Amino acid sequence: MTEFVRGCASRVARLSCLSLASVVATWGATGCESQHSVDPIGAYYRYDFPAARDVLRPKAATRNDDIILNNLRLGLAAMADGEPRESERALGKSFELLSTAGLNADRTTAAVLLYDGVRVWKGEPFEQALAFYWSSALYATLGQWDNARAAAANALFRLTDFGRDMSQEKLARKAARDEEFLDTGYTAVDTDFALGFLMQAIGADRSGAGGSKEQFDAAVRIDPALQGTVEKLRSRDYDTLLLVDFGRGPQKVGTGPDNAIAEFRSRERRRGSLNIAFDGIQIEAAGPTCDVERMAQDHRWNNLEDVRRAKSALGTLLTYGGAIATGVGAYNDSGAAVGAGLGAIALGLLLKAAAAADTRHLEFTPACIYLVPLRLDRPGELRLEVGAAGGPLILPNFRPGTTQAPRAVYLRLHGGDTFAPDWMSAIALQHGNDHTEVPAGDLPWILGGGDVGTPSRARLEAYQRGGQLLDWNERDLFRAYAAQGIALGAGMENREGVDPAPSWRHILEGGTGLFTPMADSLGYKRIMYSPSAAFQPLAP
Amino acid sequence: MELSWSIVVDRPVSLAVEAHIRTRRAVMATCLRLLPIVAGGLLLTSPLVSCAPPKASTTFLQSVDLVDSTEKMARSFAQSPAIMSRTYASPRWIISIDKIVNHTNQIIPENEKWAYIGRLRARMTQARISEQRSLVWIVPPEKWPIIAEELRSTGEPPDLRRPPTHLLTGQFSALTNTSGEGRSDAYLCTYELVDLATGEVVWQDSWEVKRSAVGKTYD
Repeated sequence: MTEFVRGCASRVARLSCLSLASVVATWGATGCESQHSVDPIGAYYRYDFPAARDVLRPKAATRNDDIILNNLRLGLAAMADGEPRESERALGKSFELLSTAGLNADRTTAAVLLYDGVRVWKGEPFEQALAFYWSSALYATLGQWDNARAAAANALFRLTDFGRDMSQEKLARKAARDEEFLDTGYTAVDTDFALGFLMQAIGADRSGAGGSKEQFDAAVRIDPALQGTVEKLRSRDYDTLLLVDFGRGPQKVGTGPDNAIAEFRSRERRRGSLNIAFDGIQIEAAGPTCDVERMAQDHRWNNLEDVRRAKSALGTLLTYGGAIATGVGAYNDSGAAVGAGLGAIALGLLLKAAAAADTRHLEFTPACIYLVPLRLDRPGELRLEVGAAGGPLILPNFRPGTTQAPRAVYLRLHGGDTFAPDWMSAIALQHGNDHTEVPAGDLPWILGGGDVGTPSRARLEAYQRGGQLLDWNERDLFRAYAAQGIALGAGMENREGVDPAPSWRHILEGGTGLFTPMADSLGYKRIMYSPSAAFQPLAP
Repeated sequence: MELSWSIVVDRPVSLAVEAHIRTRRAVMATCLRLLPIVAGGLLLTSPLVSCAPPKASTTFLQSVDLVDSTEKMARSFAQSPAIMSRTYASPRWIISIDKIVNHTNQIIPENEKWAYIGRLRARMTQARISEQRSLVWIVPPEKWPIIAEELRSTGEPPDLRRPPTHLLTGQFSALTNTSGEGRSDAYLCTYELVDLATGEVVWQDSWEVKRSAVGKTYD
């Protein structure tokens, strides 16, 4: 009899293993995202935004359960790189899907039975709020204040508050004891996302929509330390708005039994004020406007994960219950009990293996965000640094907007764990471009000079004023670029049978695109302030 | 007869063997009961992990709204007393169109903002109202390429750079409600034509629509 039970157990175990193997094989064979895409993340944190975008572009175009995550990643990499068209498209897709009601409504059964990863990733509430903030930030950099306000308004949703000193683990324990707890034990409270209120207020103020006074008030009520910033914004005493993401945001990991409880752990060791100097004089030491790590660790900004914990508990219960039933059945020589117990073990193992928390998260999230209004009044050298973390970023010849039409600039600083490339602190412009004049006597880079401005009649005349290309006309200039297979504009390659992907990369960085990123973006600084080798023409 | 045979065959079987058979049957039955669950799980998983497209239904304005609103506004504009009273011999109105102002809680990209007013203008042109009522439509010249791209139009209108006498604007607002049950957006899209010399609003009308979606937005 004992041998028979062993045999049965072995067969059921084989069935369970086969089932699990099938599940794993199905996941593996379908070609969907793995949970951790290392390459684009590594590239992003090396300031190699073009490489990250190259990897993320096809992923963002794939309609699968990571579609929001990949579009957010692509949108952020493109925004840091100063490429608004790709950023707008990717963040727009994320915005649309995040605003979609019931996106995961018909997937609950699959999530319960197998793995939360089959749900469309929408992120934790704090990630969703930040996603709306970044859309808002993008439109602010484009001077579209009405859209900046609209995007920020979506970030101000209410939160579920289960009380003070509540952690994910405490929530899980309470939920295990009381099935109703997660549905009834909370109070819906107003958001404490002060950054969202600030962006909504700035957008409303600048676009003529109402409500900015109340929105500024709300930001100060949430964080009284913002009083000075708000006064400056209210009085419109600024011509520049810096929006700076700093450091590596928290990492989501699974903890507790079966790694079922999700937790965000800090990754950024160095924090502090954003020190800003203008033409060598310190003008600002701004504290963070938004502490992303605090949000991530606040239960109100996290999903309830009720299904996940229920699965974990059920898996554990069934495993133990099955083992007991098997043992009792074997002892009493009850075949039915043994069979039922073994069956329960198989189901329990299946569910237990699936109980691990879904640790997908937006790796590009910063540790904190600074929103700093500045009154500069004239062009000059802007220097930004957070403590000594990661070295300074220097923006030579930074041009402010006006108090009537302030200029918003988005910047991404990675912090002390990332090596700061030389171009970040470089002050010598290497390449003329659409934001600069043609240096006297310069030529297009493809003709042996250094200029990478978009060809135009005005550009040609500037070359000619410097004594170059005197016998050329505008058409000759365009032909010279076309002959080298260069697309004018980022991602503008549209010839039949030609891969458009290389045209998203600048010709100075091995691509086929000729474009100028947004002024003072990191992409602009990298491309225009890095020395480059001479152009290698195509063989005739 | 078969039943009898079955009983006859079963009777000589020992108790131990009988228990063995019952246990086997129980295990098999359990396994059979589990199979649909496992198979169901695989079936449920397969289409999802094989990159099935998530369904999207939002409360945002769509292209159908662009068409519907501009059709109705064009009709309203053409039938308004201010326009009906004009003839081909009336002093020419040079109407500058501006992009709509977005006060909704939805992002409206720049090209779409221009498309709403641009399509309104295009409808007037197609209906020959401009000719019959002596109207000329212009946009800020630097914005024409955006409209031309959206309307797939080539070239530049001949009167593009003339000084305007009137201004046509649009403003979109929305009342948004979100809850655990879903989201709704009630849109009010207002258009108006202003005489730049007098500041008088010579035509105004609005288009309303409500969109709602059931289900959690933040889940």
